[in-house]
Amino acid sequence: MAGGQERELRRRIKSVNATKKITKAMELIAASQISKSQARIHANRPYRDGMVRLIVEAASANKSIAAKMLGTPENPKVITVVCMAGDRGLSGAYNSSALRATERLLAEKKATGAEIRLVTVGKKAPAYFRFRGFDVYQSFQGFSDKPVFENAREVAGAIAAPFTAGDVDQVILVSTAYRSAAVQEVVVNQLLPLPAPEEDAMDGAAPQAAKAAEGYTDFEPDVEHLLAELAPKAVEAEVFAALLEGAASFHASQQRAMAAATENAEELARTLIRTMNRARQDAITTEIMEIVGGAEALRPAKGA
Amino acid sequence: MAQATFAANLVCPERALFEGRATAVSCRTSDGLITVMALHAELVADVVPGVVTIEGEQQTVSYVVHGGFLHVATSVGADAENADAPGTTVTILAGVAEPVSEIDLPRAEAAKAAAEAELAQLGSNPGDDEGSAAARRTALEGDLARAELRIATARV
Repeated sequence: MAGGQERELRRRIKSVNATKKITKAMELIAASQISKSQARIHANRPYRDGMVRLIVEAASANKSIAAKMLGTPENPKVITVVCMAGDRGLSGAYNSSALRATERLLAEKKATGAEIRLVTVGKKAPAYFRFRGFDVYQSFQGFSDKPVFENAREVAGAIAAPFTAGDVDQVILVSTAYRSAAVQEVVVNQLLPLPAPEEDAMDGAAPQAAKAAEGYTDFEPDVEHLLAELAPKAVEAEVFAALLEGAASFHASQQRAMAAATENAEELARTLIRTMNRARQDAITTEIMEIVGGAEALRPAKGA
Repeated sequence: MAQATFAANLVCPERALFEGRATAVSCRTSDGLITVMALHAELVADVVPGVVTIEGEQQTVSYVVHGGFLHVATSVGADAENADAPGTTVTILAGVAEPVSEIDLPRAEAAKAAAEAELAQLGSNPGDDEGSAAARRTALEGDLARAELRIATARV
């Protein structure tokens, strides 16, 4: 009887320990991926900064064209919202925070009466939105762990082409920015039209250079054509940067989530072992009591 | 007399291909061939697919660049490390680029054949979704152009 409880506990301890091994392994893998993803963000930085510098320069050279082509549209009728989430779960709040932020943005934009095209990256996103009754216009998946530039080009092409053709007035990207191993946050950025460069210049991408160059730089071809050519490339660069940061954030979140899960499993195994020991001790005590009780009961009969 | 050098960078999204000093950088823009040397006027230009040659003090390196942008800036604020050596910073931003010596000719030829085959098929299949077919065509044409440029460069 009591031995049954002990056996049951033993089985549970075994399964908790097996889970612990898995979460520990995932934690270690995620930890090793963090530094790799970080290195890739770092390798991407010169390109990204260079792109920002070019836009700043082109925009400051001809303010009237820049005003026409850059900045936030006042009354966008058709908005593309790009949501970047992961392909895999078990990563703490990584997917759900990006998804929830997108959902909030969608509700907000819908209230203004704009038509919305939702584009998603990551396997987790389409299911979430379909379940909540949003149409997913286009979805990409399968590369969020280790994105390459080709992936960014594909996504950027799909979102930039309708904008260039004039079907879409604004493109907004919801992604997770990787600030450090401990801090990742969901950010909402306008991809197209390219944000006015004042904001970009303040990000620290050599604003002095832009100032020094103002008015002296030659452009080949002229600024208008150059900006038109630059825009899709800048979107590619932004999307790629967002993909890289998303991957790093994913691994960081997963590492944290799995570390917590491992700790929980340890704690659970400890309490289970205590309960099991107590159950075993109970069984032993009961058995001894039974033997002693039985012997006591037999004695007077013998003595008589 | 040693030729004046300047800072030259050729950067891709995934890595910086070249970072260092150079005496001349040549590339092809939509207006034609251009060679940038030290103290060149400030310039922003588009780079059409072709070969970019960076002449360093010791050696000259060539890269295949599949489109990008050229940025020439003066050292005022742009090159803080060498503020005392007035000069130029040349940056080429390229979406896809590789050293000529790293071109994989068989792979490029295979890619060319694959792209051509699929392009031919796209035309014969009018039942496809028009938008996605057009997008696929653009992508394939890009693949084809890249493969052809690689082959042409590697054979020279």
